[in-house]
Amino acid sequence: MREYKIVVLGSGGVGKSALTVQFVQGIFVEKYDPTIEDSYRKQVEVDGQQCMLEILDTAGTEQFTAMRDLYMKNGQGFVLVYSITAQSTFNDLQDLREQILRVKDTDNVPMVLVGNKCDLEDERVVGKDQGSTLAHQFGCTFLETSAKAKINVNDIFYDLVQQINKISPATKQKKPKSGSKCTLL
Amino acid sequence: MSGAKFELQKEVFEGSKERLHGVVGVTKTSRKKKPSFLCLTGSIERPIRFTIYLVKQTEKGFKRKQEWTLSSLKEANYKAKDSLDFDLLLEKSYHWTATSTEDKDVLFSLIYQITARMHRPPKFINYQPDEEGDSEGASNIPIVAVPKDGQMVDSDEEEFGLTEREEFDLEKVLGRAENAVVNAEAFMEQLAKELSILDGENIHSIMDSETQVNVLMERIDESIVQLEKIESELTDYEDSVVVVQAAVEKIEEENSQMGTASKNQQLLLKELSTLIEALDFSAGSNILNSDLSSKEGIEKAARDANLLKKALDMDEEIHPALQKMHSVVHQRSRLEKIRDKFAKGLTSHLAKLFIHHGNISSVDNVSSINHFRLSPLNLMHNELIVYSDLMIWLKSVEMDCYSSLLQKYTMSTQKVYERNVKALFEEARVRISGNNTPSSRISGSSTDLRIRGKFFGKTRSLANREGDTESQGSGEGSVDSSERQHFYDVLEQLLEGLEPGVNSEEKFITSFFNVDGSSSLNTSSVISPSKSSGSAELRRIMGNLFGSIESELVAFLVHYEKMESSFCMGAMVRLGNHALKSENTSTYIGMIYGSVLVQEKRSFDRLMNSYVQAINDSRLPRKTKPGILPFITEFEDFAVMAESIFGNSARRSDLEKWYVKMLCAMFDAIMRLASDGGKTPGEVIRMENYHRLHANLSQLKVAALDVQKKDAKTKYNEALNGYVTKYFGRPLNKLNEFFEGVQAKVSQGVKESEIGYQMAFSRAELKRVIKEYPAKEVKKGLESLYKKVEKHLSEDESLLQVVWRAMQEEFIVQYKSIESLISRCYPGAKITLEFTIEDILLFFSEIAQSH
Ligand SMILES: Nc1nc2c(ncn2[C@@H]2O[C@H](COP(=O)(O)OP(=O)(O)OP(=O)(O)O)[C@@H](O)[C@H]2O)c(=O)[nH]1
Ligand SMILES: [Mg+2]
Repeated sequence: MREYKIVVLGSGGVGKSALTVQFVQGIFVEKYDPTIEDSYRKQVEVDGQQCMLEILDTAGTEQFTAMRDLYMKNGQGFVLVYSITAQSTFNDLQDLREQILRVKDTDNVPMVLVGNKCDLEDERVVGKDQGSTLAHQFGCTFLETSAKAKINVNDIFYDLVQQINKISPATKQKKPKSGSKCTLL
Repeated sequence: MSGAKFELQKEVFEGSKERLHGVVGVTKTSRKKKPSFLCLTGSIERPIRFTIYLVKQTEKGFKRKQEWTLSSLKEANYKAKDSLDFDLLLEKSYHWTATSTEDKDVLFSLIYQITARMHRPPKFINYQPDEEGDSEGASNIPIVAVPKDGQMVDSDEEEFGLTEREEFDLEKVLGRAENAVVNAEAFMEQLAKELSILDGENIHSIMDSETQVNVLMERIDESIVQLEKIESELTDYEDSVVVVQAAVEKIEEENSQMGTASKNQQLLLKELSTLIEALDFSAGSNILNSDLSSKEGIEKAARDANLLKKALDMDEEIHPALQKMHSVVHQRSRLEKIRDKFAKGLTSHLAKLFIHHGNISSVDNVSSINHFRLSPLNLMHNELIVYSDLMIWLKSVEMDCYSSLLQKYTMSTQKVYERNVKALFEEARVRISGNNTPSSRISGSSTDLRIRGKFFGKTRSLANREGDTESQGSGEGSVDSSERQHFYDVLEQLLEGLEPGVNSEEKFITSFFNVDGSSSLNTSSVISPSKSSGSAELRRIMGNLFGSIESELVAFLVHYEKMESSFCMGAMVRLGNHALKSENTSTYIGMIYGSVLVQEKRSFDRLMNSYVQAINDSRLPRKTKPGILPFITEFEDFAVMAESIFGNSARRSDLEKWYVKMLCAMFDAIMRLASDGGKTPGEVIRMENYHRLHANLSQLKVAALDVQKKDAKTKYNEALNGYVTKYFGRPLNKLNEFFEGVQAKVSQGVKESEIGYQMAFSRAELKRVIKEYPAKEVKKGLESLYKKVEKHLSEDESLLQVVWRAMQEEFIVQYKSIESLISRCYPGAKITLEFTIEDILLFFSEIAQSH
């Protein structure tokens, strides 16, 4: 079975863990415990193919961000999450994406832009059009989701798997990049 | 005729707003009677409608007899020139005789002129219209147009006859003389008389005013003379004023020229003085001799340096033309020279200070060991901080000097910190294994470690960090709780001890090297993320100074976790507390702790995963009674330790996630192992282990595990019931079978009271079966059952009493059900079993007590 390494990124408190746990375990985590790093595994069927997703739920807290480079290197697909109720979480994503592109050293990285907490329409400060404009600029998929109301949660991960399949078809996945890459350390 | 016309107009036609144009006195040709008047009128209002009236004169006045519109006239027969007769064909033909031929001519001429413009004029017979049109009425008739429908519309704006005003005047005059019209001559005479009287009066008054006119003329002559005099005086004045004016104009011109000149001079002066002020640097080359060793001297130097900078920055404000002035160029190059020289001097002075302090501080690392903390370099900071204004100046003026200073500072200070950090960690190691603490179990060498018992069996290789090849000595649970506590205490002190030194250095760097992005320098780039670039720079400098902390800390933790992998749990909690402190949100040390925390979390996850794996891989102990499975007790130990470490810390949720996973694995493992328990029934394994697990979870009181706790309870009850049902079985089997037969009959439709009449279920048969279970036999059976149960159950959980009681209850239930069936199916037969419920209770307690 093919494995997919997915990394969930975004500022603290936007609902990365809530989305991941909702997808993997089907429950909504009400309590907020800042994540350090958690990994989850879940088997799903996408386009008739069994896939094993290895999802890394990362920290949004500033102090834990020094380790980002490492997991960005290992990740194949990225979920960039902001909360529609906090403008700053939306603004932070630009830097995050640039870091991913820098670490991956390519412009074509499977990615989904996610505006979470869309059940809190009353507290919305980031417009849907802002989100889709940014996604357009990133050239990636855009979804507004709610981990609480189970809106579009599975779609994030299915879309990402399809993107990864498109960019590197399942045939031979044994280090296709080695050789062409030089590392300076 | 005009007299009649006037009267007709006034009496007949004024009321109907018509104007009488022509009238002719007529008599009907056929009869000789009183004459009537045939009148031709036109309406005053437009459009003008012309009408022909036949008016009769009676004693009471005029009376309209008949009327026709003019357009209805079809034919007009003039007959002969000198005849008074004429015919008009209206709705029928009328024959009239006029009173005079003149009147007849006038009427015909009128009708002809008016109808000539009509759409369908009447036919005139025997009539030659007068080309001259000099007849009386013709001049009075306006030109009119007659539209198709016969209505008459004016073709121009001209009014008929008199205006209203004239009419009014005329009426007034006529009103004075009632009979004016009749008696015109007398009237005229009277008017002429009045006129002559008025003329006489007029001449009289003209003659009266002559003297007055003469006086007026004299006055006018006088004033003309006066005016001429004034005029000549005015010319005199004017002549003299013209002379003065020329003088004044000249003065004025001179004045304004002088004003311009003085203004220009003022401007020039101002320009020059700003220029001089701008380029002036009063301290001059004296700045080079500044006293950089005293506080006052430094402050003065900073002030001067800023003035110098200001003088040089003036460039932009000085007019480009002025900048070409020789003296300006000269002054500037002089100032630049001073600046460069001063910067060089300052740089070398500070560089010397850095080296000096680097040497002093590196000698003194004893204090940091004695107090077990990384001492801030306060002495150096205090001495250097006074230079921070000069450093800001230097950064803005001579970036090269600034960078080289930064580099020198980093080099000399980094050595000090590196040494101190190393010493601190050394001290920490000593304290952990040290001689001055009651516990000396964890000394630096792993050979001293004793394995007390591990959690979850052999997990060492799994729990180890990736790439760690030396697995010897690794283990868990190899230390007791006081040793563990000691390790955590030292770690806590270490983390605490590092903070002040690093934080004070960070603060110092921020202000001394001015790298917060808030300096005056960065004002030009407001849009660029100066804050993040500033903090990145700060982070880089801090990284150079304290790079060793992270590697030392990681090495330290790896070292001890190799001996006791569960140390990562406490390390995680402690690091979490420090990294997530609000004052550490964006400090360097907070970032370091954060990164190490992420690494510790990974170790923790690996360790926990190894525990889960161990549970998944666990086997049944090779004993006759497996009893409580090892991982159940290990989990108890683990939970006690974990709770003592995590308590209510922020990282508790990380632990609870693994609790859940472990319990899942444990439930699975109990199920799996229960099904291949060999001699021991699976129910017993399940019953004992779920019972223990439930008790343990109740004691733990972890809210996150409530579901699992309930689950354990349910599973325990299921196992207990299953066991009792299976092994207590039916001690009165034949009786049970007998009554099963009875119930089968009943369900086939046999009445309960008639069961006794069935051959197989007769009273005698029942009595025979009952005889097979005398009290003695029953007790014997129970005793052997007890022995069997005793053999199954382990001492671990001592559930024997519980099971025995459950069996007693089961027995009583069975007894009662048989008893009630007997009373229902064999009523009045007085059949009873050979033993009573009291007997049963007695047997059970006797058996339990005898063992
Ligand atoms: N109403 C609502 N609340 C949500 C939603 N998703 C998450 N939350 C809440 O937001 C808070 C933070 O959610 P987390 O998932 O822990 O946030 P995070 O992004 O993982 O935060 P870090 O781990 O610190 O980076 C929690 O209290 C959640 O219950 C959502 O879709 N709707
Ligand atoms: Mg999280």
